[in-house]
Amino acid sequence: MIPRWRLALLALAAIAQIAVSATMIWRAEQVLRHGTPMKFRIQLYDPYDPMQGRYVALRFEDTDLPEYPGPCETYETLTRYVRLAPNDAGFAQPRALSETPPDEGPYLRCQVHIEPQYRYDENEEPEKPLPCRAWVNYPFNRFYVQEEKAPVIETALSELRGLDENAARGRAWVTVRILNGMGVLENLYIDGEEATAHAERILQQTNPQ
Amino acid sequence: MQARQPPAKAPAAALRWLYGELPQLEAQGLLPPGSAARIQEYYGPVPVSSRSQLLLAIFGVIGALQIGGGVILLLAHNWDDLGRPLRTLLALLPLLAGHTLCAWTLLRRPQSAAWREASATCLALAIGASIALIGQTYQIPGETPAFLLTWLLLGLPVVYAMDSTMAALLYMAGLATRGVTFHEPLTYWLLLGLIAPFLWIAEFRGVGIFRRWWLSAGLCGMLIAGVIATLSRRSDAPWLETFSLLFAALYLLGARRFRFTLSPWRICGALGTAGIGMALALATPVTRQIAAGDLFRGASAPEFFIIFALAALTILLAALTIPREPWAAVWLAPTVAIFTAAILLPHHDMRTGMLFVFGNLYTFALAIAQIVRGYRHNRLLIVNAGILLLMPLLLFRFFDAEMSFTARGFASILLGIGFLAANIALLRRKRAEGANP
Repeated sequence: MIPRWRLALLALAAIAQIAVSATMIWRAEQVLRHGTPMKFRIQLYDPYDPMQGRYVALRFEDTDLPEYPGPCETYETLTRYVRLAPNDAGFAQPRALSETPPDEGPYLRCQVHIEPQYRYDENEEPEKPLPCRAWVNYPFNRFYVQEEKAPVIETALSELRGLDENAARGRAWVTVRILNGMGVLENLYIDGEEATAHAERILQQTNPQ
Repeated sequence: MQARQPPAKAPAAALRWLYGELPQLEAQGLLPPGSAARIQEYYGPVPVSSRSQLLLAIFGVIGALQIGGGVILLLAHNWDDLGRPLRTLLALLPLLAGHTLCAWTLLRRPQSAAWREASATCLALAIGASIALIGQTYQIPGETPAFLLTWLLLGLPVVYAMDSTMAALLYMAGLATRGVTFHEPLTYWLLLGLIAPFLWIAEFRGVGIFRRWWLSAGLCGMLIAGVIATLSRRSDAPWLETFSLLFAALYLLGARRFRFTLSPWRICGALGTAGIGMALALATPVTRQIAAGDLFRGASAPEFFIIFALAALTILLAALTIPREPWAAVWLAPTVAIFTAAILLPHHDMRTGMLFVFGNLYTFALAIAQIVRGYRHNRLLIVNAGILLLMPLLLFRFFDAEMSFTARGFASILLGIGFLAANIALLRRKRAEGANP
């Protein structure tokens, strides 16, 4: 006869596991349905392997904060609330930091890196401190794609990387829904077209059925 | 007449051997007539099918791992053509299937180790697969340490509910991976504490030797990973001191708990201690860097705590074990040397020099002792272990450019004479034993 406590423990484990999964799904659905949509420009860089497994590794432009009140004497990483606002081109930019959620506007809870800056004289001695530099590390840094489409998307991004910086700027971005400090990736776009649709079109052209 | 004491629980293999010997012992008059029947009545029948049950459990676990892994690979294909709701359902399906299987096992086959192990393994893998697939489906940002922590905490109740060795080993593997990769010592030891009751019960409840061996091996790995997780925060941490204490403690624990089999603790302790001796003897830049760690300067609270706890455990075990098994003191020698050097020789170069000389002498003596011991007890494995320990040392010293040709030449000749003399002595002894059996 199996002890009852084992069955009870298994039942509790099932409730906990399903609750965790359901919470993840519910939170993500809430953000996708009610979150503020924002566009984030992604940086086109050429690492050794941008495709790690089945996702695109994302790096973002426009991550620097306009100013950091300081003080900062050493490099440090903090977790803060970052208020976002679109710039003239319509892409999201961090505007202000706070330790508590701001009262208005979309905001994210994420890591912020702070670094002191100096100007040096001709003897390479630090002349005077400049305002600290602060930049944001967005948490949504992976875009999962189907394995057949991944190489096609990589090729499209590689072609953009081959252009000069001004020609390539702003041609690839992601849309993110933001709600209560949480951001969920919606889609990756290349030249205004969904990256997955672009890949599907290319695949159909090369393998017509 | 004194009331009969219940018999000690004997392994099935031992009982089978004993019952096989009894008729011969009676026939030769070594046991009174009727003793065989009374002894068999006392110990009871040999547990049937213990080997076949074990085989069933092993095959069940392997099958569950393969199926679970295959399902993960198939689902990881990221079928975005199916749409989000269907993918979400597929992500939850392994979890539901795993729980259904475990519940059925507890209700219908609670005594079957094969069913318990296979269903628990399926469920443990399904938990991780579900979380990962939901994250992929919704593009939820997540860091690996948080993912592993969630998986471990959700999987732990399955270990206790199903009394599953495999689920416990998966938990330990996941925890060790997280600890070694991401450090966070406090979290590591807390999570280890959560599985400790299961390991304690398995150790002292008289479970099968196979299960006990694997859980002990898992615990060895966990302790090593725990030391790495605790010390990895700085490069000049007291690695040498801490690992020498750990391996000495493991060896002594093995000597106390598993007396008649090669226990994983004893193996781990012996290999680790021999490895430390060899590392000191070879004195590569890496070992020099490790030996430069300062025991008393810059040590954090977790480092002090772990060294103090290991030192107290080692001293206690040594006091209990060495009077009964003096040979075990050999495995404490590196610990004593390392701490002596750390306390008495604060200067880095003097300390590394002393440990270099000690490492060479110790490794050489240990290797020779193993070869001799293996020869005396007819244990080829121990002889080979001694040779494996000796050969790299001799080769390295032969090609050591920091020693002059003259020094190396004399050392090689002396060693050669020593080996030949030992051969002659052993041959004479063998002939004498052959002449006087």
